[in-house]
Amino acid sequence: MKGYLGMARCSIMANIVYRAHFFFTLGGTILGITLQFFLWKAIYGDALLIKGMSFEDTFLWVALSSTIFTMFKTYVDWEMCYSIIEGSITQTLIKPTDYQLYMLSSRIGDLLLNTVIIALPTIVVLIAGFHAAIPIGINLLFFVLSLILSFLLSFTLEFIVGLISFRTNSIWGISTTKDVIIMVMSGAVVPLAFFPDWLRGVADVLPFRAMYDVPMRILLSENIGVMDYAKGLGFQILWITVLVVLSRIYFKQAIKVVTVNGG
Amino acid sequence: MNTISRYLKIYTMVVSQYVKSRMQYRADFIVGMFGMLASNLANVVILWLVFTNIPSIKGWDYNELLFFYGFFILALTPQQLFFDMFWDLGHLLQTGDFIRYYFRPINMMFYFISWRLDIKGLTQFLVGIALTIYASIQIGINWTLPMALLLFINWVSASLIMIALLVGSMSSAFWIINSVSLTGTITSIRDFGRYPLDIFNKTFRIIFTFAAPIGFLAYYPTQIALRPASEIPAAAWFSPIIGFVMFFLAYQIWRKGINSYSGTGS
Amino acid sequence: MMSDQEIFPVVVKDLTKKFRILNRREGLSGAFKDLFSRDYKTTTAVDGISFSLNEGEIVGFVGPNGAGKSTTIKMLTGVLEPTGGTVTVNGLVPFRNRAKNAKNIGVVFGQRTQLWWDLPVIESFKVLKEIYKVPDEQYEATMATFNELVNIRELYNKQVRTMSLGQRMLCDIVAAFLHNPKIIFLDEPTIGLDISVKTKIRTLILELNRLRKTTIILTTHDIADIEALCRRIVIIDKGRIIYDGDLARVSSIIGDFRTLRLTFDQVHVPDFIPALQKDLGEQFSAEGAVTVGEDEDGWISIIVQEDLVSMIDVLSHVSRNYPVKDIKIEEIRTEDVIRKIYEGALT
Repeated sequence: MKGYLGMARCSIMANIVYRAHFFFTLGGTILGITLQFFLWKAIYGDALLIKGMSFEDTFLWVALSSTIFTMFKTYVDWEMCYSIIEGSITQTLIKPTDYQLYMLSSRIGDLLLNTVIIALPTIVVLIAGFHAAIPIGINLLFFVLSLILSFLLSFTLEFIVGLISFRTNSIWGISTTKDVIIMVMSGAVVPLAFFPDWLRGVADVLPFRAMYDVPMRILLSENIGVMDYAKGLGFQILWITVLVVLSRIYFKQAIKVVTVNGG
Repeated sequence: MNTISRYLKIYTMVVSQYVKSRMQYRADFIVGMFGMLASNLANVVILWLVFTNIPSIKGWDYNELLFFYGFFILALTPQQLFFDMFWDLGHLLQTGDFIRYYFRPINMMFYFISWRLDIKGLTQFLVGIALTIYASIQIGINWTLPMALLLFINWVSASLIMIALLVGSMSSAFWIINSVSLTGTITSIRDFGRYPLDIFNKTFRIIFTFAAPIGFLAYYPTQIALRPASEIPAAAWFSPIIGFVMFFLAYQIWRKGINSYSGTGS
Repeated sequence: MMSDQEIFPVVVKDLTKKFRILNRREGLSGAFKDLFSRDYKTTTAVDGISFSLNEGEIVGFVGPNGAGKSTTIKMLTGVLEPTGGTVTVNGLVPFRNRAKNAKNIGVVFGQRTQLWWDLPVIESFKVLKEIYKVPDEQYEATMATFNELVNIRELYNKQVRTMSLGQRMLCDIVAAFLHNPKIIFLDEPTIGLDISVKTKIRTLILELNRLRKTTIILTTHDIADIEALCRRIVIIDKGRIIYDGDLARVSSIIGDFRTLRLTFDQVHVPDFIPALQKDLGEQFSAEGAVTVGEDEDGWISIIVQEDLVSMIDVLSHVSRNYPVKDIKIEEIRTEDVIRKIYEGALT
């Protein structure tokens, strides 16, 4: 899909094609949020609080998480898989830049574009259409920091999945599995507060909550202080470090497949 | 009858060969099945998680929602399995390769879809069957033959709606470049059908019953199994025909497309 | 009294195809305007052509890119609906009877295979047998013929994906003839192939045409194909037929051309040709009267239009001013004739 958009970029029509694509994606995002609105409204029914969260809290949490999820999707894993199948990876490997950094930098532009064209309008819709109340204060600053870290985490996971695809030459299954694990275990679809204790315990030690649970809490929780910000960001940094190191080691191993098969 | 058996024979020949050749790619096969399983199970887990906190959603309990979800993915399966080629329609039209489908003395849509079978759809089918059967036992549905038959017809109809949505939206590729994005948006609308209409407000319920057939993807069709006859909403009795109507409409869009395609080159 | 449609496998009268092309306006505001008021431009790809084919004929369709060849073929095969005129293939209107018409035609596109990519080609043949309802004995006999002619059995178990271009083309042609259609459309069947494979394919086509009296329409840019296979040639340019008749007589319609072929002592050919052309152009100022080129065998050819310029004058000028080693005077080759037609010698 990304490759297709890349081709579209070259033609005069690119502007219009690109814009239409974003229009449709934005539409899909807003539709998704509408669905979540009704779903959670129905779940709450007459109840005011569930596990300490009100309907407004939960809806905002879930809506923002899914918007960010759409924003963060760079399809780097898909591109890596196709580059192996089509052999174009050799061209990229020849370049003097670090492969992982090269992939990352190629995505920054898209990320910024996604933020402006998808995330911002969605937030406007949330506030204006759904009357969401986002607390505004110092938390916003830490939220942005936390999001940047979340993106790095998301990217690294996509990258690792891409490396796996070097072996399997198949991407849909692993990418989808990664997506659903993240969506569930990060509290993006159902906030972690709703988890039964034993599962909550599992989710707490896994890296996934670093992607959505942490930034959401920074943004939306009341009465949290600098210590809590530090703990959250620290947790993210810890996991980014672990995963990046893992990805570098795995890269060296995975790249052998290319040299074995290639010419 | 003769035509049907002939088409069946052709389809079986082509598809069995296709599957044989895909089996060479072991990893892809396993990864695909696994991903499908993970995706379906995740939805069940999410439902389960929600229900550890509340007893019901607008009168629907956990097992009823499992049944609902099972039916939905069963309705999705034929589209998933048989119509996978439609995702490539835009690309084939652009490269001009699509022209190859014009030259056989058989129906073009049939010929087109026969080129691929999405095997991981079988996983979805099994999950759907398992969920539906499990849930129906838990609920304690009193199956009767007419009920089962009607549910089956409703499933056929719901499947046709799913297929019609894909065929109709992807056929836009004959005229626009962003057919995949359009289909994505239509899929987002379709996903409203993953939940009973009861969770929506009146406006949406009316739209999803009369304007867009979202309610007929799973909500109305399953009423026959879940509610006593007296409580079944009137619209539910139309379930069997909606699918055929939708498919007919989608097929007309396809026909308009193939009649207006001019290929590449001059 | 039989109608035209009954006698001739293909009858085309005043066939026209116009396309409406959207004039896309620039920029975002332009795209917006496009949504509300559409500005169309009509181009005519095929402009009232007429011809009929005889049973068993092999006809070459020739013309520059954009001439309307593919568009015509697409109307003959039922892909496109004509804007005007009539077309009948085997007595049927192709666009209205796509599937029925398909029973009796075969199509080969040089660039695109119609075979199943991942399958051993024998499986493709078996499926086609089923699709076209070919009776067992006929199938066996047909495959036996193909075996005799090109030893197709060798390729049975090869996946199409792993075949060379030549092998794949052979299989596509076999597939097109498999159900013994009355008409076959070959679009660039030898493109990209080396000479030995081209010869093999030309022989195959000739043999099948001889055995089965199949009518064949061949569109190609390869003049050697035309010369090997066709007795009749239809030249299309800008949507119109500019010649329809014997290949041999093409030369006669564009005037008297002969070719002066020469070799020279010690000349650096790449620089020499434009210089010679310029010199001759100045000497013999009639437009297009003298055309210089290099032939495959290394000889320099000067095509002289003899109703404008005298061959003897050209020869004496060249031999006086250049170190000529050897000369030949020949009739113009078909290839050069057709190239001249492309260049508008007829208009």
